[in-house]
Amino acid sequence: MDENDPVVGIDLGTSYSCVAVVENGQPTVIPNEWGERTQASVVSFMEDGRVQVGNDAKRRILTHPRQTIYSAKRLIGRYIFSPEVKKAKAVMPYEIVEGPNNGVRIKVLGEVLSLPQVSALVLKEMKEIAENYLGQEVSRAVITVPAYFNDNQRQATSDAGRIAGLEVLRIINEPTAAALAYGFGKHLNERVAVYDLGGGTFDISVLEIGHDTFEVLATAGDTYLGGDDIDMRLLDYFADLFQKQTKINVRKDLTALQRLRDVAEETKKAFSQKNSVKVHIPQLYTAADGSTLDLDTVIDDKTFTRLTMDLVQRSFKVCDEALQLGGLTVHDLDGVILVGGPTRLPLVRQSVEHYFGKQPMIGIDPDEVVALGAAIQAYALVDSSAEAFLLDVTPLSLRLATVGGFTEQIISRNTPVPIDRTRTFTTSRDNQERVRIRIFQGESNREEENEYLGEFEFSGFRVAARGEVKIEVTFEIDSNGIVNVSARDPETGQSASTTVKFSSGLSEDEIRRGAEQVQSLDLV
Amino acid sequence: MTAESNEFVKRVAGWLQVLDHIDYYQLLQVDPRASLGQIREAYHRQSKLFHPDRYFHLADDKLKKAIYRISKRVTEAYVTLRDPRKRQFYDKQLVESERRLLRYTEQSEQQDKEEKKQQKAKTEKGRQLYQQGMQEMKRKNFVAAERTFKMAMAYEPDNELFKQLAEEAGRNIKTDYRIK
Repeated sequence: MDENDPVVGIDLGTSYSCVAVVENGQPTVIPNEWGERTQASVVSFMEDGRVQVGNDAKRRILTHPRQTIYSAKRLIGRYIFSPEVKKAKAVMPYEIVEGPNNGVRIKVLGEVLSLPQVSALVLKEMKEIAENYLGQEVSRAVITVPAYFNDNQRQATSDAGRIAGLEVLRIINEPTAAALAYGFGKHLNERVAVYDLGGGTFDISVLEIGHDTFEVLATAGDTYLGGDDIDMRLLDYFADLFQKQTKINVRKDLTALQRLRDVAEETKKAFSQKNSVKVHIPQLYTAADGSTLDLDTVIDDKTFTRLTMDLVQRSFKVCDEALQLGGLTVHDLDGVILVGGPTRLPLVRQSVEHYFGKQPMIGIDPDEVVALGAAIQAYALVDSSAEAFLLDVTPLSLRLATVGGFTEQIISRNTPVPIDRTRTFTTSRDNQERVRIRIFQGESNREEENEYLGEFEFSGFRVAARGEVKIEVTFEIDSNGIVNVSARDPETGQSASTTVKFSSGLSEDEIRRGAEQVQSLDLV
Repeated sequence: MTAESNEFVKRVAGWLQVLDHIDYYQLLQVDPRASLGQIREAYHRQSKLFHPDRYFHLADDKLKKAIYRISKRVTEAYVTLRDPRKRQFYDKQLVESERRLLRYTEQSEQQDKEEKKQQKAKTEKGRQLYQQGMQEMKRKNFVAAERTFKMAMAYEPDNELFKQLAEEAGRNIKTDYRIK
C-alpha cells in the first residue's frame, strides 16, 4: 500500500451515509456521479444477482420490499432477543432470522447475510464513490459510530469495514467527529455540547476544545431514539386516521405501509420549512374489486408537536445525564453544535435553544458534519503534521460477572481511553487448569440488565492447589472504544493463552468468507 | 523533533524504563500540590507526547507499543488525580508505603472504599455539608466548595477529611484553568 494513498472519513448512518476527504488541507464531502452528497444506507438485491446501493436502492423499498434492506444500523451488533430486533421484526418488510450465537441475519432471495455484510455493501459503495472522485484506489478509512454504541456494535462496524475491503484506521464517535469538524484549525478555547439526533440514535457529548486538543468530558446516549421514531409517529397517525375514515387497517398491506413510511418521512422533512403540511396519498388502498381509496389530510405544527414532543423531551433527559456525569450545568457551555437531519426541525431547534439557553451554532450542514470530522481524523492519523487530536471516553461501564447473576464494575463509564485495569483472580479448585470470565457493558449490578460482550477462558498457567495460583487479567479499552482482554501469571510472568468467545459477532473465518461473498456481488 | 528521530526513540525508551518507578505526579510532570486545572493541562501535554494517535503513521511496531503503554499510564494518572477522593487516598498511599506503591490499583480502590466508610461524617449536618461540598467540587465551584467544607469543619472540628478537602478547594480557587 502506498503511503500517499488517500484516506477517507465515512459517516455510516442509519438512514444516510456520507464520505469525505481532506484535500489541500480542507475537508470536503465527496458527491456521487449525480452530485448527491449523501447516499441512502439502503441495499437492494435483484433476482439476477446484482445489488443496488444508495438512493436508487431506496426507491426499491416500495417496489421490492422483501429484498431491500434499510436501517441495518439499528440491528448491527445486536442479539436476536434484543428489544430493537423484536421491534424491527414487527415493522421491517424484509426477513430477519436468527444466526449462530443468538446473532441476527437477514434472509434475502434465499441467501443469508450478516449485518456487517449488509453494512459492508454500503461502505463499498462509499469507497467506490470516493475512488471515482479521486481517481485513485481508496483502501483506508475512519468510520464513525454513535458515541453510545457498545463494544459489540463497534466490533461489528469494524468488521463491516474489513468485509468491504477497507483498512479501518479508527472507529470514532459521531459527536466527537462533529466537534472536530467545527473546531478544526480555528484554535478555539471553548466548551461545547454536541446534540446529535440521527436517523436511529441520539448522542450528546460535551467537549472541551483547547487549541488543537479535543477532550470529551462526558457522553451519554440512547440507541433507540432517532428521526425514524418521528416517522413512525406520523405513520401511526396516518394509519389511524385512514382506519377511522374507512374502517380499513392499512398496516396489513405491505405496499400501503411502505408508502405511508415514505410519506411520513417526507412530511417530517417538510416541517423543517413549513408549519403546516398537506398530505395527499392517491390510491393508498386497493380493494379486492379494484376500487381505490386515497388519504387526504393537513397536519399543522400543533399536531406535529403533539405527536413528537415526548421524543424530543426524551433527548433532554439524556442531556441532563451527560451534564451531571461531567459535573457541569448548561451555564458552563459556550456553544451547542447540532448534528443529524432531524435537528433541522424548528421544533428540535427551539427545544435545544430553550434547554441550553443559547442559540445552536449553524454553519456546517448537519448531514455532512460527521463525515467531515471523520475525514479530518483520518488525515490527522496519517499525516503527522496535522494539528488535531482527540481524547475520547468510553460511554459504558465495563463489568465482570461475579456470582449469582451479579456483576462488578471494572472501568466506569466516561473514563478517558486508552486505558487498562488489572484484576487478580485465583483458582477456586485444586489443580484447576482453566479460568473463565464473562464480561458485560452497562450500568447495572445485574447481569441481565447489561449487554453481554463475551467469554474469555485462560489456560496455560501453573497447576496447583486452589488459591495458590494467581492470574492477572488486564482489561483494556483502546482508542476505538473496543475492549481487549489479556491474562498472565504474575509469578512466572508467562502470559496465559486466551480464548475469546465473542457473543453474536463474527469469527475471523466468517469475516473472510463474508468478504468473499460481498466481493463477488456485482454492485450497480 | 520528528517522531522517528533517534532522540525521540531514546526518550520513549527512557520513559518506559522508569514507568514503574515513578509516581503519577512525576509521570505528568506536575507538582504534587498541583490544582485540578494544572493536572488537566498536564494530561493534555503528556497525551500530546504519548497518545497513540500521534504515532499512527510509525512503522516501528515496538516503538508504537511502548508509546501505547505510556499513554495508558498517563490516562490512569489523570483519572486518579482528577478525582479528589481518589487523589487523597493516592497521596496517603504514597507516603504510607514509603513510595513502594506508585499506582492506584484494584487493592487501592478496595482499601479506599473501606476507609471512606469509616471516615464518614459523624454528624447529620456534617454529612449533608460534605455531600454538598463534593457536588460543588465536581461542578468546579471551588469558592462555594471551600466555604461548605469550612462550615462542615465547624460541626466537626476534628474531621481530617473536611480539613483536607477545604484546603484542596482553596488551592483550586486561584488556579481555575478555564480562560473565559
